[in-house]
Amino acid sequence: MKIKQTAKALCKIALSGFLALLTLTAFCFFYYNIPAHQENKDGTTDYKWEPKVFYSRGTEGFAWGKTNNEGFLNPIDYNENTPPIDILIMGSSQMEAYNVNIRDSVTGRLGEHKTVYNIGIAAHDLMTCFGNMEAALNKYRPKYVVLETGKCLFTDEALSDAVSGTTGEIPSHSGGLVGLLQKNQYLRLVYGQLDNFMKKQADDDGDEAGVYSGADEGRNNDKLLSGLMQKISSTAREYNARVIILYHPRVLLEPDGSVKLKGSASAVEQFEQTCRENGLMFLDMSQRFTREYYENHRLPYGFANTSVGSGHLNKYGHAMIADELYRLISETE
Amino acid sequence: MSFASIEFLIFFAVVLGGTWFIEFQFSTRVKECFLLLASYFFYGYWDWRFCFLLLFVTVSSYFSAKHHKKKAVFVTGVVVPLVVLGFFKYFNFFLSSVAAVIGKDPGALRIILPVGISFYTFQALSYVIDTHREKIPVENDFVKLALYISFFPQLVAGPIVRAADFLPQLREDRKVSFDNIKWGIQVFTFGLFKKIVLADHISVFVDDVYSKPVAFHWTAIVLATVSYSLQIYFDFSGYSDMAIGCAKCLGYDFNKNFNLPYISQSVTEFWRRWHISLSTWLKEYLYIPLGGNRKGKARQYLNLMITMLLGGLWHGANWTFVFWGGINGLALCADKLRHDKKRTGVLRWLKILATFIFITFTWIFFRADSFSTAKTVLKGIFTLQDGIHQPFVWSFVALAFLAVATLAAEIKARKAKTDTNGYYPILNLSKVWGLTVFFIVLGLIVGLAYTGENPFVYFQF
Repeated sequence: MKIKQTAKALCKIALSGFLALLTLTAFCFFYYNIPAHQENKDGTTDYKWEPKVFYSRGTEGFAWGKTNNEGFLNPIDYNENTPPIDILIMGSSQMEAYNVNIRDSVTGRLGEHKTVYNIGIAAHDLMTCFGNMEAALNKYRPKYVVLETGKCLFTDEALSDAVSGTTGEIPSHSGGLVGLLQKNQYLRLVYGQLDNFMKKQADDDGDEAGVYSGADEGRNNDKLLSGLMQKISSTAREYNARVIILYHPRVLLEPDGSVKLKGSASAVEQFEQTCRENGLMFLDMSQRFTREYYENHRLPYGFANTSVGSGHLNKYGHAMIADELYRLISETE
Repeated sequence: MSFASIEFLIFFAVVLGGTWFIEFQFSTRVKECFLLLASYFFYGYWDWRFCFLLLFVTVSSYFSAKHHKKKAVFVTGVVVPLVVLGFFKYFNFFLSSVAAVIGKDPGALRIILPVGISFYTFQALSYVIDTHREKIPVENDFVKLALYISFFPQLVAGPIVRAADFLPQLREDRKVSFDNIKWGIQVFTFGLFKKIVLADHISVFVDDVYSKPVAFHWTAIVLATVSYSLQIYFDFSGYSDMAIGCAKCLGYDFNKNFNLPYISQSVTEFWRRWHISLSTWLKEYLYIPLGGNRKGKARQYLNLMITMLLGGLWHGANWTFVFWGGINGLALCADKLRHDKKRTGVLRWLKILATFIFITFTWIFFRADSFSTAKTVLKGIFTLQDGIHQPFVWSFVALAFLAVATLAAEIKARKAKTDTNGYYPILNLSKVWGLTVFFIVLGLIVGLAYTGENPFVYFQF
């Protein structure tokens, strides 16, 4: 009798657990629906999202949409009917822009004037993008390639790996148990929560692959940086493309209401100079971000459901970058 | 060890399992000792040295209550917890205040504020005073008294449980039971949701605005101030719910500490619904002994002001808290002067709104770390300051949650033809639907919780 009762209670718990998981997964379909990552065999990025699937994001900003036929966030598909690409955007989650709707992203805004294609994807910092650039230029043949970065100061090791083309590949985790778990949105949300929690516990400042911040002082190794830029420049020439390195610093709000830019000013200056010497364009968003704050009280980062001024680029940040990129390209042309 | 931490969940599971096992195998005495040790472990997890302070206050209360008929002993029993509280919490505050008056550099002792000191000293005082008043018998069993003062669910942030309510429960043979666990775990979960989903998310916005008020648009400052009203309510009532839930799982009952305070029609009603255990304590051990309303109107107002000023100071060693207590005291005096009756219909909602606006205004002084910040906040609002807009979504979510809870309580009260009171939505966990809803709530807590560090607001008191 007791065994029967226990079995009945266990069945009830299992059934309730299953029903609850179904409900929570349905909730996450709209609240946190991030498609699973897949390996990208063409080497333009280390991985990409599942193609042609619905995604939504409510944990940082509110956005939803559908990935394109290649598994990137674009208003257009890439196929034989796609017009020649004017601007190819490469970068991290900041350019991936899954916190804003596609029409509000740099891609969406620039797309009003030019043919733009975005292959920005999470965790792809500047060095990873450098590593993927040749494959990307070879495939998409753009007039301009934008390489986004949130920092200009890199370790010798990172620079040296980029020069020798040995920057480590970022795994997609598309196989095995983790790959399977990625398919359930609620479990993915819990994983994200756990990951955030562990990072905070470890006193991590929330950087994603070093995208957001950099040290406030210091310079890059001159020789390595020059070597890297020469390599980038010659690759770009080979494909008849112009490279724009887009630098968007973190903006910190101070208690007196002023803003301070995070990052090493001398490294930014060094980066800009080295770019110039090698025929690469360098777009520094520092002034525009500062001006926009003092004139219009707008910060480029942060959302209505997160801390003010921190995290990913919001729609204002994307608009500022799109404006400045358009201005730079128009002036060049 | 905060209630909203993995460490606490492990600790509580061990204590609950241990208590249940001891009840089967050993005597009540062993169970009391086990709970006492667990409570000291819980407290010592912050800083083991303060366990000696807790023990000192307990020993002092034990002996002074035992010999309470000797006036000197009774006075010592009252003075010792007050001196402990005064030294650890207010010494530097008074030193700097006096130094500011005489214009000298005060220096400061490096005194660490022991967590929960304001709560357990008040519990010790209630025991000593009640035995002296012969409201409760002297507790000869030291373990029972020590457990009353240190019982971990209420040790660090209340509710302030009175000896008359708790000691009789220890004398009964209360057991861990499945029914109690079912109830307690749901109340705990409800509180956890309020704390780590609602209050902690809101705190991100409130902290942003109150650390840089000059940077924000006046509407953002107003929203942050309203949000703080919600944050402190969800934070503290959430903590109280967790304490009530934990105690219930172990077989003990704590009284309700919050009763939908934001539907109050007056400040007087607000203080009957907000932090009820503190309001009751201040009334019984301060306001009434001062004379209450028995010595004429003028004296009643004076007593009210003294009670609220000290109540404000109890919350923190800062003049902003004293000022906060003062304006609440003035509002209570104004209520007494007006003799306003409770209203119904539209007037009732207007009075509720007016009270909410007033209480929210007073929270500015409670939240601001100094008068200068409070002034900047007020200036920002009243000069319609330009700045960053931030329509923070979690504030609206919390507001909607509060509105739904209030509506549910309102419907329940109308059906029962009673006053509107808060209640716990307890599910029948024997049914599949009850368990499913419970699992969904648990799942939402895990999925929506704020993952950053954010201690309970009332821990600092």
